[in-house]
Amino acid sequence: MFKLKLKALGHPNPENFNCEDEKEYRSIVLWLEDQKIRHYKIEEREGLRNIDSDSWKEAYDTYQKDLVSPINSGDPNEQLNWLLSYAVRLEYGDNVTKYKDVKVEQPKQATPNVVSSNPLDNLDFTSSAFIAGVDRVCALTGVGPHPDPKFRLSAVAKILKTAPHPDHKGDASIVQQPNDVLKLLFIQDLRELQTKINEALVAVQTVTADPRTDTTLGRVGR
Amino acid sequence: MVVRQYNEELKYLEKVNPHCWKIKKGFQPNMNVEGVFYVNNTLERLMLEELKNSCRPGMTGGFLPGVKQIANVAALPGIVGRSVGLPDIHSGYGFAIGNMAAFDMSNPKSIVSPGGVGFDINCGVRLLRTNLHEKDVQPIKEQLAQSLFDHIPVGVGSKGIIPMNARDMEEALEMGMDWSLREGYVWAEDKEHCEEYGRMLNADPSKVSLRAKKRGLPQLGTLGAGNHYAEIQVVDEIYDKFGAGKMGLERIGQVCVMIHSGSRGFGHQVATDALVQMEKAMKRDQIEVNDRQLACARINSVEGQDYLKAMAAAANFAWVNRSSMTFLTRQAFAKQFKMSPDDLDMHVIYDVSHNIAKMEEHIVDGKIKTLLVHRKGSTRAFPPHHPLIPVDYQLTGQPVLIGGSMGTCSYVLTGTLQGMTETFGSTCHGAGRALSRAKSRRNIDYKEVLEKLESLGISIRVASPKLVMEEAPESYKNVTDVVDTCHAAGISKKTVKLRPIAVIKG
Amino acid sequence: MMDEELGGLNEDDFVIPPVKYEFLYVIFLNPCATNPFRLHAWGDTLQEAFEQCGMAMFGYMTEMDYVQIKEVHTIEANADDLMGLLYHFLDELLFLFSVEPFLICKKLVITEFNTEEFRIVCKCFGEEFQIGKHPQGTEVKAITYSAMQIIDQPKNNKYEVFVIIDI
Repeated sequence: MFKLKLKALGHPNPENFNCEDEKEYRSIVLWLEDQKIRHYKIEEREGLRNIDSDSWKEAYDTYQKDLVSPINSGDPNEQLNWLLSYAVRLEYGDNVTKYKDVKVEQPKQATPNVVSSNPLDNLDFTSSAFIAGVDRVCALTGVGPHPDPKFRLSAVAKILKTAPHPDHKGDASIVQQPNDVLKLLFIQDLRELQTKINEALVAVQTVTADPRTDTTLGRVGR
Repeated sequence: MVVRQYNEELKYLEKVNPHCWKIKKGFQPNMNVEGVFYVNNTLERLMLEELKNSCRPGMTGGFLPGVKQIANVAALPGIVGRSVGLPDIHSGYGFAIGNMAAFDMSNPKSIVSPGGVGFDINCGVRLLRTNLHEKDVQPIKEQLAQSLFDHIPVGVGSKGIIPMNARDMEEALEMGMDWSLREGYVWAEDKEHCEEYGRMLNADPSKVSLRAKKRGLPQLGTLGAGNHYAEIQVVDEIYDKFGAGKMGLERIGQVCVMIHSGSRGFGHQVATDALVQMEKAMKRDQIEVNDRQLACARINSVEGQDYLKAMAAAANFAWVNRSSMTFLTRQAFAKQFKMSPDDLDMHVIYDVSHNIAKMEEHIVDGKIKTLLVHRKGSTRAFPPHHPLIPVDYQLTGQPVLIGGSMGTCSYVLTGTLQGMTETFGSTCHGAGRALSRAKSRRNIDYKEVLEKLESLGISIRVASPKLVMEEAPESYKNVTDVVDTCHAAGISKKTVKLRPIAVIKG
Repeated sequence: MMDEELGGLNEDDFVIPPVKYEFLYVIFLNPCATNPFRLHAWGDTLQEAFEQCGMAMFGYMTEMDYVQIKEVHTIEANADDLMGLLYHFLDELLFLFSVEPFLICKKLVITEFNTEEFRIVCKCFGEEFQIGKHPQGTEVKAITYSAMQIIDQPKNNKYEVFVIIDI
């Protein structure tokens, strides 16, 4: 985890970092402050430096508050992710001239230009209209934030495909949601029951069925 | 009938919204509830023109305009809610065809009327799907049409080819599709996808006259003459992918078979017998109605109960009939494609009834009530999650099959919650007849109609070609107008459009 | 009610009466409903008008040129009034066609025409309907009372009947 960001920040060992290890986690936080973020003066970093102390957690919380991190009460990994992103932003800010001309190398296109009939292929996914549209749909469907609008759109698609009702409004209220779930469970039970009924009917048919036709009874067609 | 000037009549009609008109009390005498009818611009013009024509002096053809008939039904004892006219409405015997009306079972004065069911009891449509594509069928279309024509007995005087004796007939009348199932003519899944599961439990063959049974026996398993048909159709357009997917209709060009048939002479005789009984009952119970053709009896009277039991037997007859033709259709396809019907995925999508009266529970003024719902030329269209629709359609609502007239498109709709509250879960049944004009049978060239169908790429096999002209698409209220109106009014929802590629008829 | 008379045909029975009927108009067909169709028949007597009306109905089910006289059956109809008599007369004929012997009639001869007790006895000449031999016309589903007219006191000795049948 966090391999790319660590690498970007020039961490000496990005490959082997294990964020689940409490000690490594604390070291990384300290490394970030020491090397990249430098929000505190050196003497103020004492609390973070005591990696083995029980009071480290307290210091970390204060640190995040001081940085005005939006997720100071979230999952530790999310917190770290934000710290890393913040560090990357600072790194970029310090070296704008160095980074701004960097070009992402385009992977070579294996196929020549195919004219697509899928209207989605001709959409400009970076346009502000598209992003605004996705934002609106996400707000309706309750999809959380993600920087890539395409990613969010596929999340929306997934939700719409699995929604219990075709014209589901997405205003999944505390009453509506369990109601929908119960209906789906009920339908599933009903389907199982109906299948058993059909199986029973078919079993009886093997004894009773003897379909006959006698074309001499009527003149059929001409 | 009250005779007024046309502009006087118009004062009793009120346009509620672009698709719905209200008929106020007083339009006809003794109206217990208001009437309502659904139209778009074209249908509205036809509807009002019909009324206007009837206001001219000297117009007595014996047929009341649809609007008047809706209002007369609103005057029947025990009616609740509103007397509803659907977009394909046109005048019929007593009740207009395309009229639905519900009567409160708990009111001892409530009535049942054979005219509110229609003569062809449980006339209806069944749709089978296949996994074939139009391009699989196109090269052998003519052979396939011929094969269907060879298998399904059609036309006047045709007799069924499934051997039946009087005892089989009694059992079939009592058991409906369960009989077909027991004898092996249909699959268990067919029953699951059929209104009422293909059997009305209150059927009692002993309430059916010998005359009706005699007429019915040779006709069981026959398509009928003149107006009924079987069509090979392809999916032309999908409006609701989710709904269509639940029905197994996944792609444009997918081949389906539609069978439109009823209870033949049998149902007709049941209705005729009941009308005679009811005339007597009306005198005895002093039931007053606006039109003599609205013969009826109290639901709880002997005549009313006997009719409901005989009607249920006729409904069962119709289901056995459609089931027999399902069997024959599967045989025809299996022979042509040398594959089993199972491998061709020839499942029944659904089977709807157009002419029937049923006991149903509905919410009236906020209370659950048991009603006797008459649907004449009208299809039940229950919304999603209704307990009486098959489990496979719990999320989409009940499929509603709308057969077009010859050479035109057919549609599959689904039921909506709005339809449940506005029209007791009912919608249109097909194309309606346009203006009834006097026209000589001999003057229309049937060859022209046949040629036109051919030019549209439709194969046709018909027992009596000279009848074709009477059913030319031009003589109908356009099915697309009708369906679009139901969709726009919200009483049902468009799901799939089907286009015919071969027609077999009497 | 029906009583089969086999071999009871003589030469006179093969004389076909002139056509004195017409089909007035068609109101267009709907697959789910009965569709009214109007018959108009006339004659020098009311009895003849009734006979013609019966033949008109059969004439609508197939083409008369293809029908041969091979057998004769007798039907009987009773009613409470004249209109009822016409209704039941036609209904009996329809029944004769719908069940055994599936008789399609080319000629009808009313042997008893009682307009006081409203009773008709009629000999029906024709043969069993066979698909392949007889072109299929319209199926008549029922006779109706609607707009029924019987002109039994004509000014110029032309007795007329108008009946709407359901097809």
